[in-house]
Amino acid sequence: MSRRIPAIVIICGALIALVVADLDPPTEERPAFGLVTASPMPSADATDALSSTWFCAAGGASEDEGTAVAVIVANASATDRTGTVAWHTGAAVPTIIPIEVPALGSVEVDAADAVSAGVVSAVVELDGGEVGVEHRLRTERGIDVAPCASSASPTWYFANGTTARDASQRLVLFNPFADDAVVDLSFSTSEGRDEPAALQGFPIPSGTTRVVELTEVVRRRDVTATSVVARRGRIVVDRVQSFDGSEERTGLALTLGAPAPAEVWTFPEGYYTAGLTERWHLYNPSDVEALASLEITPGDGTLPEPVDLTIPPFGQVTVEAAELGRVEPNVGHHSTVRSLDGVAIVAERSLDARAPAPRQGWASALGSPLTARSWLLPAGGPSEELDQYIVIANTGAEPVTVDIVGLVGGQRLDIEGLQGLELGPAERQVVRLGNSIERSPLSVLVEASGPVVVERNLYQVGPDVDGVSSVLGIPLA
Amino acid sequence: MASLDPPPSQPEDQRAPSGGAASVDLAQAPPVVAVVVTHDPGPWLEEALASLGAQDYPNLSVLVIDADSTEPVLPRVAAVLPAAYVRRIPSNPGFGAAANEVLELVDGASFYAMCHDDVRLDPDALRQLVEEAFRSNAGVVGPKLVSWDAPASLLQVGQSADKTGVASPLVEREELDQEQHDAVRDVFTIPGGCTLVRSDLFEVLHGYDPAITFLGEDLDLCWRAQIAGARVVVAPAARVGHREALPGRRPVDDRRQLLARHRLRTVLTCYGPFHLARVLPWAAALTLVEAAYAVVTGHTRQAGDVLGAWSWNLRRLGEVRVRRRAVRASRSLPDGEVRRLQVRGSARINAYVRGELGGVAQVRSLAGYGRELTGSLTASSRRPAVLAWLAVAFVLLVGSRDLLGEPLPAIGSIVPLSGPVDLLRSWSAGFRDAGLGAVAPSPTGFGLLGLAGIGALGQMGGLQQLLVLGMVPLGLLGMWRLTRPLDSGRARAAGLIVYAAVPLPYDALAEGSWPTLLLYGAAPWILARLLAAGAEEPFLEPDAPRRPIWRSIASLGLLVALLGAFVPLLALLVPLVSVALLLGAVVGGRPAAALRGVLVALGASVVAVIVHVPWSVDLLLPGSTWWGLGGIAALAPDRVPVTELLRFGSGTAAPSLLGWATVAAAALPLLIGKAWRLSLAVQVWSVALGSWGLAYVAGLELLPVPLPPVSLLLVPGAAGLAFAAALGLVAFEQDLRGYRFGWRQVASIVAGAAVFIGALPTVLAAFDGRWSTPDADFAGTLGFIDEPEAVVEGEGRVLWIGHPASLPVGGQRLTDDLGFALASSGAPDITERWALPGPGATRLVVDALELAAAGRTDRLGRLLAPLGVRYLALPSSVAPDRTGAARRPIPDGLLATTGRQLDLEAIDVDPAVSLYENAAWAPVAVVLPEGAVDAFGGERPIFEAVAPLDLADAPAAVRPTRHLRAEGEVPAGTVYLAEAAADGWELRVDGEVAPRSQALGWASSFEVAEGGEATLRYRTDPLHWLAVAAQLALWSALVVVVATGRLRSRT
Repeated sequence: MSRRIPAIVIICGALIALVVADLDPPTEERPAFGLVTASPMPSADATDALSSTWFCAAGGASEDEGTAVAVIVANASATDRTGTVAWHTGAAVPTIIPIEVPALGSVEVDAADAVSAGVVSAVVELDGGEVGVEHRLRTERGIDVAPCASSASPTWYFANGTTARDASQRLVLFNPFADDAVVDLSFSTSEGRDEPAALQGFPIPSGTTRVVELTEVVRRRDVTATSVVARRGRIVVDRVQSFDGSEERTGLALTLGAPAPAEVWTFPEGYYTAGLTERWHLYNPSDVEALASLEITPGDGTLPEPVDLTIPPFGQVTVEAAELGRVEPNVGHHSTVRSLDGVAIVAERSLDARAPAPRQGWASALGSPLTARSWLLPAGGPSEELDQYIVIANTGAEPVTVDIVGLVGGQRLDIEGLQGLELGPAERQVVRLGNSIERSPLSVLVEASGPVVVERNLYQVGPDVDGVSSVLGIPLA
Repeated sequence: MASLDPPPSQPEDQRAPSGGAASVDLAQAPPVVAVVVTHDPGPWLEEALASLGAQDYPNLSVLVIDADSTEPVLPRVAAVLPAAYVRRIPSNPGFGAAANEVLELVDGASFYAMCHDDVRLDPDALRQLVEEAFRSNAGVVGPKLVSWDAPASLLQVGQSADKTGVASPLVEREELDQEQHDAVRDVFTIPGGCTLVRSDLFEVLHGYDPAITFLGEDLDLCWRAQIAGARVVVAPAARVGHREALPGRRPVDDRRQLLARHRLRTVLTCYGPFHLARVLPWAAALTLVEAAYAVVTGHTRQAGDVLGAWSWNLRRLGEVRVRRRAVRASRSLPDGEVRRLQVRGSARINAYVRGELGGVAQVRSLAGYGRELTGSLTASSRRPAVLAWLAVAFVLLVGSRDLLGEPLPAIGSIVPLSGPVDLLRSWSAGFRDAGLGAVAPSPTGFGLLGLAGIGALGQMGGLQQLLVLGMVPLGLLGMWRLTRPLDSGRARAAGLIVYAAVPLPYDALAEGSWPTLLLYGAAPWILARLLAAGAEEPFLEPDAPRRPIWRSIASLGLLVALLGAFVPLLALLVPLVSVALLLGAVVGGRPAAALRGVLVALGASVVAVIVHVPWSVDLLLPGSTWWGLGGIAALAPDRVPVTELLRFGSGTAAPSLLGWATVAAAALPLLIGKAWRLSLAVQVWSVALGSWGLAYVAGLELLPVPLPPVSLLLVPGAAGLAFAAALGLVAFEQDLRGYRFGWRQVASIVAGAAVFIGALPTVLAAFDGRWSTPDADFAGTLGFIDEPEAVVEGEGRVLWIGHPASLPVGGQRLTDDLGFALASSGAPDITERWALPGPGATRLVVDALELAAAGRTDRLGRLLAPLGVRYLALPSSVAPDRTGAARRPIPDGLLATTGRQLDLEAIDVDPAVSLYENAAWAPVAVVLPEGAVDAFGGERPIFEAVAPLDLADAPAAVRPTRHLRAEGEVPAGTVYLAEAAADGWELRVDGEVAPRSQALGWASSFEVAEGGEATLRYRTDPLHWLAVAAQLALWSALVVVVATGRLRSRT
């Protein structure tokens, strides 16, 4: 045999081998570095972080308008933290207030002590992690407290909100950065998608806050889901929902948006009864249809069949607990919204309490896309005017033990009766904090032996005072 | 009746006795004088004269003009044609001037028959000519010229010419005369030999142009005759045998020179102004092409001749003007009318295409072509090679037209060259200012470029063009050299075309991959040396002595060292190529030769490493990273589908499907080659397979380290396949004849066609004019960074982060496919292309970025401030968006990380680069604010120390004045220098040395007791100077060894 044949065979063989090997190429991975979204919800940086920054969009400090905002900074670390609160009022330079937050303690900084303006936003910077920040907004229509954002984002979503006749829904868009931001706002209602021309290419100059009253740009709708997408820049968006009482709804609800949709949302609290309506609002901000399930887990341990829901592209779906029949009235429960097809969605749960419910108010909170072992609740503290509940849900398959401690002047205060709480798999525990401690203000740290989700409910107590606040805690890294 | 009186100087006894003429009625036939001009005639004269004597024309006289023959011709004339008159003139002024004697000597003739002394007329020839003159009312009539020795072979039957006067034959030379051309017709020219001219016309025209000595007088006369309104007719019934003896009496170069001169003189004389203005530029262009052709083919004298024709005529413009006036006076017909008989286009190009250029001896009839087709196809010929060179050069010129002479855009590794002095300073300083600086030897490339810059007299732009664009022709010359031993013009042409057709160099230009271009220029030379190292056929003549191996090693070593100065990894790649050749040789049956090639390659790499000491030591010592071996090349995985790799696509743009033709052309020697053709083909195919395999594996990231760009890895394979295509042509010429007719012949045709088909995409790409090279760069986009008002604030660095191939600076690795680099400005130069061999202090950048990426800070700007970083540039391409350059997206997470930072201000400059200004930046040399002094001098980890500090308002201490030197006025306090700490750093304030200490664990700070004029500089260690001198000596020694080796080879 000549040399030709083996040569040709080897060369052809090598070529064929190359081509065949390439027929099923590995999926090309895009280079990755850093986190696209720092956290899908406000969360405290690790203790070794060089700095923590929190952005509080909604606020005001005007006696004339009856608005006031304060930031509550809780330090769960064993080290004192120093930093600043920069109050942004639209002036060229923010007003910067130095702060010191003692280890295992908290401070409250009132905007009115430093500035006076109808719209005030804040940037809180600290020299380390394990710090959580909330802001409390008081207006003539009520009072509410919500976490500040631990990072800005180019996208923000809300699954709920209303522009009904008795409602005022304001979006507060804060740009804390040195360069301008430009955003597009769109809304999904039962009537379809709405992209008001005035809110396309909506500029938010550097260091300023813009407030959009949705009732002026969106038709009267019972439910409006919102997307805020930045063409450039990053912002922080709060929603301030309030009611004038003409439709028996009262109160004010402050909500930080979701910086990104997620596949799982957990709501530790759940309850409905006469006058108290519980609803879930599911929003699909993508351009493909989403299939999701709503799992409601009552406290008695029974597991009703999940409710499958189809959410059209850029559409929103609202379901009411009483209509689903998966759980009886007056039975506490926690719930989970889960995407079944991988399409990320946004989920909110609203509690609409009117007479004859014992407490009136309106609250709508995003679920938690995360679980964590430690949750920080900077604001609160049971008192005669404030009834505080902590709801803990164990979404894992293992039992967990939970300790609830207060952060008091540099010490961990193990709240009596709230140590070593046992939660079996899929169980929830509701704790009325006032039954164990009477102290205000009080920042609370919830520590569990396994991953849990923690929610805090605050009820204003007293004659002619309405208000329900329902927000998730701040997970610690 | 003609009066043919003897000239006064001629004694009566010189009249030859009459005789030979037929008895005719003199009263009826118009008198004709045959004018025979002769000079040192050969033995044929008698036969020629005898033929005149045998004419049946009844009224013929013969005048022989002896142009100063060494031996007077009178006796010979008298012996044959006693009635002829002989006029001897004292010099040889040329045919035309001698023939013009008839105007003085003869009176009353109706026609003159102007004859050479080497023509033999048929007995009725003159009669036929005269009859046709009357019949056609022609002024000039010519016969059918046939071969003297073979009267059945035609030479000329009239002649035409193109607009520049180049003769265009109307019949195939040596075509068998079967009376197929015997129709009377108007022609543009009657070729010399025998021409009947009406005497009155001849007088009006004042005869031949006396300045046209030999060659071209016939064209001039006929052209002017037509201008005067006379017809020029060929009468094939008159047959004249022509010996064409002039070539034997005048050298070729002389004839070529005369033809060119006289042709141009005629053009200048005969055209009116309008047509002259149209024709002259065309003639000039053709002259240039012909001269270029002559130079390319090594005929420099020919080039001189054709160009010299112009200077010859320019010197005689006065004469030309006089003759133009005479022509104008006699003009009866416009140029447009005269030109109706000219051929269109260029007769010279047509003749070339028909294969008729180069002398009559090479000219064959169509029938001859048919008979000799097989032979011609297998004969070695230079013409295909010349055509290939012309075509390739044309395509390259057209394809690069927008790049030539223009500054090249700074993309990828094609960045501006610093000045030669700066380069030499950088080479010898002993401190690298890349990244955050390091005490390290500089790349030898600095020195080489610096020396080249001096050689280029500081014209660094031109030098860059040469080193970038010039690599393509250098590679083609290398392929030409590689294929030289094949001894086949066609094979060399095939190799040339295939190598020019691969898209690699053009993609490299578009992508800014200078290393690929460098290797493209060098690969054929390397391959040639590796193959020649084996010293077997065809690289070594039988019985020729083998080249000593040390000489091969030195020669290749110099080449590898030169390339390695820019891409050190090539010192590994060359041995790999030799191993591939060895593997191919094992299969092909010649392992011994290839083994020697491996030894030479290894030796060459060792030589390269040695001459790069101390830089190479720094690259190889522990602590250095793989990235450092990339030199100016970006080491990055680039996954390209195999089907594109096989067509030498590098991922920049999808290669054309016609690219498969290259592979097809290269396959031919595997199918039909024998002996060394087959063995070599297997070897070079092995190299191609190795290239493809390496490029594929690199893309899959199967290796623990990234490799250079795919385009660079493919270059050896491309050179190998181009050589294989050339081998295919050799096999076609030498081996195909041994096979019976069958598929091999078909395959050969397909492969031959594939050579050209494969080149089509490159030809089409040439229309772009710049090979898709971006026409803008980030240096322009970010130009504001380097504006004086920005610089006055102090020196700030630009931190580039992106895909390694998108970075204009040599950098380090952030992740596997994400690199970063620090540049001193928005328009980095070549000294910043070489990354530091190890991370050193630059590791701090990674730490800062990772802190930000992990969300542990929202103040990345503060962390980068003590590193002197003012801007962050995140390019997603090598060039601005509008250029359409390929995108390599920045990771979303990185954009999110930078977007989250409170002290980074986004600046909109271009969609292809995300640019941020660090609002907290501090100059590289800064006067520290009091509150920061303790933090900078303390023991705390750097970022913990600086995170709370805002240095935004800290003033610059000094500003750079030249390489590693800065000056300025500093106050008392602490000056912080964001360069890697080194003993060589010295700050003098008013002549006093400020004490230096380490700051932040990596940099320097200087305590300035009293403010004043300060000078900051780096003092080079004397040991480093010694190392530089040693390196210089090593290079010199290598060059001397190679040069003496070449000299010995030649002698």
